[in-house]
Amino acid sequence: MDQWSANSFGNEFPDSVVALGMTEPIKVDIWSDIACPWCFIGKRKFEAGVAAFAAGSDTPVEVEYHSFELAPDTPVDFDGSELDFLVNHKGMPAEQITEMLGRVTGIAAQTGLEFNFDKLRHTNTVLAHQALHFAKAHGKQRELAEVLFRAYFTDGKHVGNIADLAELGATVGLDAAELTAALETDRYLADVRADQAQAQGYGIQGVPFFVIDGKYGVSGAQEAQAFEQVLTQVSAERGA
Amino acid sequence: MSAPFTLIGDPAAEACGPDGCAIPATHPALSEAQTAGIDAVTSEATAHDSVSNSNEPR
Repeated sequence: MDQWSANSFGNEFPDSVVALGMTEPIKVDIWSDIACPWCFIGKRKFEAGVAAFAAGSDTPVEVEYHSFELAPDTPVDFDGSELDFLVNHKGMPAEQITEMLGRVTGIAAQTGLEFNFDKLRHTNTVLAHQALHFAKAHGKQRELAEVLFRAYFTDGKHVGNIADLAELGATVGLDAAELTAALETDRYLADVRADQAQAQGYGIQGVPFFVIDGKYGVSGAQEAQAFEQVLTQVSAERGA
Repeated sequence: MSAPFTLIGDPAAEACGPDGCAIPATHPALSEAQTAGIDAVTSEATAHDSVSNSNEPR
């Protein structure tokens, strides 16, 4: 699990736990999927909310990502563009899809993200989720989540096979050979399934979904202020 | 198992589910940028009223 605090938070997160102080961190559990545009956008909004909260509080925030597969039947290698995939699998007119993807791209840009749906490599994300669990075990989950989202939505990289995930993992300091071995043996598949089962048990039907300190659930890519408010509320309730 | 937490925040915030992603027909920030004062969407509620949740792209 990764944590950050008021004095360390910025657009680029630290690689490790910093300046924790004596205050028990506020735990935020986030269910998301790499292939989810609102999860990446929501991640940015959440981070902005945490930054705003951290500006006035010394209470650190601890984040843990959990797996949620939006389309587990998606093939690892889809020979075509995102537009092709959506036309074929959703049965929607190409013009309508193009327009909607443009809208999402515009909203992403408002949060400082660059989405390139024309380059996107549609794929199955179960291995990416396993890689995130591997990264969690090595204290690099938040860093890898950022790298995977960016690889998928911005850089048009493949995030569905072992070789590419190992390469991406190495960029955040993970051992590529060890990650490869973990993915080849599905070492973390049970953890992925456990996350999904917990989401189902909680009644989570869409992502991103945030559980704040086990007390409050926040669904969707809320505005940064919403996250700031709930963190402030949790902090205040602790002091009450 | 039931959720041990209380749901808070805007229930219409954009999210993705197994059936696809909610794509707003418009968005406050985009409207501001695109219309520059001309019939700009003025409330979050208005924008979210137009969210579609079905058969949208993931």
